[in-house]
Amino acid sequence: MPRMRRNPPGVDPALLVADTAKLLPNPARRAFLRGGASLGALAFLTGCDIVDGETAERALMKVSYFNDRVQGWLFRPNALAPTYPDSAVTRPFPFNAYYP
Amino acid sequence: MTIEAAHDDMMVPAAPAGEIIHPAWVRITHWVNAVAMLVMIGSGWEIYNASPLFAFRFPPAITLGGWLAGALLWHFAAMWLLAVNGFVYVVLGVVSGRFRRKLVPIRPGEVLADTKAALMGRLAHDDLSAYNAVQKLLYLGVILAGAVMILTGLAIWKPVQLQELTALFGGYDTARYVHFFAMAAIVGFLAVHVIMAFLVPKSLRAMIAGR
Repeated sequence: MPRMRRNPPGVDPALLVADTAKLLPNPARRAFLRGGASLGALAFLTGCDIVDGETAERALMKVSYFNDRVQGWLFRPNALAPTYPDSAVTRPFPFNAYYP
Repeated sequence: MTIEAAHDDMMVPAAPAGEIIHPAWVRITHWVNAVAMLVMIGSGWEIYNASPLFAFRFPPAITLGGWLAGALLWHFAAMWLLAVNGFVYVVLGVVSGRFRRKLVPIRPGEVLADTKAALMGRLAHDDLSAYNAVQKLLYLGVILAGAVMILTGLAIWKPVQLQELTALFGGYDTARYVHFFAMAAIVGFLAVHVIMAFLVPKSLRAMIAGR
């Protein structure tokens, strides 16, 4: 026959539970460590190199073509480029892709 | 000691087991931003190296892209991630009232007092849900630096089509310097931010797990 569990007199069960919870380790910490461990395992499983591979290059080129469209959309055919006096020109002139 | 006496000492109810400090949208935008920013900074340094403003270059080991064209591809790809993510963060920050609740008001007196306490190692980080005055100043400051970064970035990306914006920052050459110094400010923030996350590890946990 199971033994009946009775609360000791003068003890509010709700407060007792709350007080006991104070003594336990922080549950958020435990959940965080467990989550971190599984995330670490997942990172090893994927095992792919995205920074230098062809995957990255293809993705970057896709974004680049998208940027071309954005630049086409930004282009104002009637806006003139600002002009500068001859004295404002840097010499030797830093042509595009020319870096001494 | 009777059970009643022990109970009287503990009449204060225990704190509810972990209230959410950072809602999911803050955590997601924070980490997306962290990735986007590292790509932007790494590729930005490589772009800088192609035409340095000062008498130094960034070591290639810590830059991204390998050469100018590669770095530009990375920079102009990560900028979309950074801008879209930043836009979502700012809109939700304003709409949810989080910015108003957490980042203002910033009182100069409190900033001075908290800076002094921080430098003497006496600034407590007990309550993660409320920022001290130094944190408020730094977090608001880095958001503003981010805005300057995007605006000067646009100014030097399209100095003809967006020539009014470029002129606002004092022309192409000056806008490059502003872009550089805003980067320096953000990298400085990042250094302090990462050091603090390691000194107060539960703040890092709160930014990952939320509590």
